[in-house]
Amino acid sequence: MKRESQRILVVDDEPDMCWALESILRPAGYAVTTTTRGAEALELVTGEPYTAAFVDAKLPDLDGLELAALIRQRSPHTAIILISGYFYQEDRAITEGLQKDLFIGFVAKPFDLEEVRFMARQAVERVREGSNTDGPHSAGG
Amino acid sequence: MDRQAMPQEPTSQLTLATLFDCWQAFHVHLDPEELAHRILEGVAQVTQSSRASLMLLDEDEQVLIIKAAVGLPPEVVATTRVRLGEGIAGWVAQNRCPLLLPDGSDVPASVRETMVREEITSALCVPLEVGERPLGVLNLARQGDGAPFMLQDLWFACLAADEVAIVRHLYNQVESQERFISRVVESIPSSLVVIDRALRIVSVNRNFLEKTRREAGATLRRKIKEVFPKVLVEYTQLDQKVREVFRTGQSVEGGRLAYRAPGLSTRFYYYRLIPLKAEEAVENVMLLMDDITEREQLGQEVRRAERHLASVVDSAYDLVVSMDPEGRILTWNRAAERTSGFSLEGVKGQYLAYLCVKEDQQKMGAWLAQLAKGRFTKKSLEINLRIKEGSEVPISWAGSRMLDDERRIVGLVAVGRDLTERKRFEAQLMTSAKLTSLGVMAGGIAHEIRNPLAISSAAAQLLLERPDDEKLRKEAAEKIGSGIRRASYIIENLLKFARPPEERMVPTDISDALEETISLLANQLRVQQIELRKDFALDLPPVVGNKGLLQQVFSNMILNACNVMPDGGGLAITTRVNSDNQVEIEFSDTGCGIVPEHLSKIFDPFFTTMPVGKGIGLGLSISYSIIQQHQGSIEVESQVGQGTTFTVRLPADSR
Repeated sequence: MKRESQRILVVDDEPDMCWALESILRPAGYAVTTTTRGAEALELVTGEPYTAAFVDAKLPDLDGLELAALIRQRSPHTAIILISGYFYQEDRAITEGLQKDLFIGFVAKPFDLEEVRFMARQAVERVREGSNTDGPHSAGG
Repeated sequence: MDRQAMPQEPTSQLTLATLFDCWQAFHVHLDPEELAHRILEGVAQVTQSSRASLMLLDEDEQVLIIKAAVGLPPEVVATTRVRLGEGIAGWVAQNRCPLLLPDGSDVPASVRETMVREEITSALCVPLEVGERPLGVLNLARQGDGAPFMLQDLWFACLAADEVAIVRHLYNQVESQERFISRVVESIPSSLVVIDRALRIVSVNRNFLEKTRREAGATLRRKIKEVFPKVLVEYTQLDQKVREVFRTGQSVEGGRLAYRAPGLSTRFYYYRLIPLKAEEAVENVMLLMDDITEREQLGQEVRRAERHLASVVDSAYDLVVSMDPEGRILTWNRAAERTSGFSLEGVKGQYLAYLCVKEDQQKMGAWLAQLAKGRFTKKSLEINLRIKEGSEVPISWAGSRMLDDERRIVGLVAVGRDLTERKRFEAQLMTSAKLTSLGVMAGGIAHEIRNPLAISSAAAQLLLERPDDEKLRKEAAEKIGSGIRRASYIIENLLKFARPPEERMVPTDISDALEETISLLANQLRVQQIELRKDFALDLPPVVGNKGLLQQVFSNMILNACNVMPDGGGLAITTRVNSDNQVEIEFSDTGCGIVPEHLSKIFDPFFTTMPVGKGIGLGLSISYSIIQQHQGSIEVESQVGQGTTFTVRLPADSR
């Protein structure tokens, strides 16, 4: 079955990080847009529908968690995956965020490429199912 | 003596011989009483008197008292008191005219009555006088059937009376001289003991008797060793010394002796032996003892006070060094010995400045010189002392000068405090503060390192998945390389920061140090959304200092800015050279500012307005201390609601 080109947004202040995620997701068939600034990310999600957004937890102009909330507001169907070099899986901000459905998944840096792919597939699934109220999923360790 | 057998008529020869004998006797015995007796007897014998008496006038009561008598019962001798003018004697004494009775009609009736009553057939009364003063009378009386006295008897009696008068007078003079001398001797506060050749005590003054609690009777004519305690005589070798004085005729300065009279406390004396000479021969030796007990006690007290003071200086915890006005060491207390390892013998006479580390010798010398002049430039001076093992000890010196009563300088005093402990404590404080700031930075740094790690990891994994992708291979390899380089750089800076600082101060590039610190904290700034503006002067001169310590200060400045701008803001770091040839580094933030009441306290240790758990307020005080060590200064300006500017000034390397 041919997959439509799902749009994925990557927001990370580290350009090489954007490169890495794009290098993983593009060959998997996704249309990847990258940005290093939270403000731009908000603009982008408002303009186009994105299946998923990989959001870095610490951004220069905006707190990653705040950005996630804002993206939810503007684009409720976009699945958000938090990616971070600051937090770890067991940190309270993460466990709470997952519980409250602020984001559907968390990836800690450094990561396995498969983790990223898995998260992307999860996002697609949810969109297809047309529901964001299912229980949160998080990538394995 | 059988008077009956004596010739009736005296001859001149006999009378003179008698007188001569009396004089001789006087010379031998030196006793006027004896003389009076002998003369009286002689006169009575020669004049064949049945009664004879010598009466002397008591000046105070103006009565005549019998001093010597022949042929009178003892009770009469003792009780007779004749007032001037009364009776034969009284009349004669008063009128100073001899009376020969019975003869002449001018004899008063009362006299005649007395004669009749006493059955006196003939009486002779002659006055004793010297000059105009009546001294007494000489009475002669014949009783019974004997012939009356004749003129010859009168003449002899007068002679005898004159002799007695003269002797009496002389004796009185001598006696009053003696009394005068005695009074003088008794008044001397010293104890006097006169000793003869047989080492017997001939005379003592009252002072001696009082001090030794002895009676004159138990002291005079006793040997020295019977009177003084045996131990004392042996210790002072008193016997030998007295003999020596007799032999040489020279005084001997004895020395100190202690004497404890029974029942009294010990007293101290200074004694001397002085020869009493008549012409060249030593007749007696006088032992003179001065009571120096009070002086001794005072001396002992002074010595005790001196010992106490010396002990105070010696027991002091700090180094106490006294020097002459030129700075050469005179005294060196125990703390100084302990700290430096040098004893007093080793340093006495040396310049204190030379004991300091080489590079500070001139500074110490100049400081002491200023002190000597009375100018106080610096309250205290921190200069390291060279110690025996060849290493050094940090000391904080405080100095003052010693003046005599005329306010002339007599010396210098320097008190030094060993700063080793303090420096160790400060180092510990700095370490713990460093750890605190490390903790704060940990979050930011973790993020810093995890990014390049993630990139390298992803790149490596991609390479494994797509080994044939040429473009990917190149890109990935580059990313891996740069990622690792970045991670290494961050770790390097972190280690440098965490490592203990090197001890020596070297010329340091401030811009360089700032850049490294900034890069360490860049992420912290980024995540807190603090905009950093750098304005570095291009030709900033180096500063003599310790890079690690200075970077601590810079990181403290930046972290403080972060703390006051939790919601973001701006931090401007500017460097420049000012007109005093100082390097200025300004840290300006747009935080909430510091209230004026806190401004003076912000450099105090443990002062913080941060909530619990967010820092214990050591950073600024340590920064202050570090900058001080660098001979620089930190100043702060602040406006509540607008922001704060810290200005660090450091002297540029002048070499």
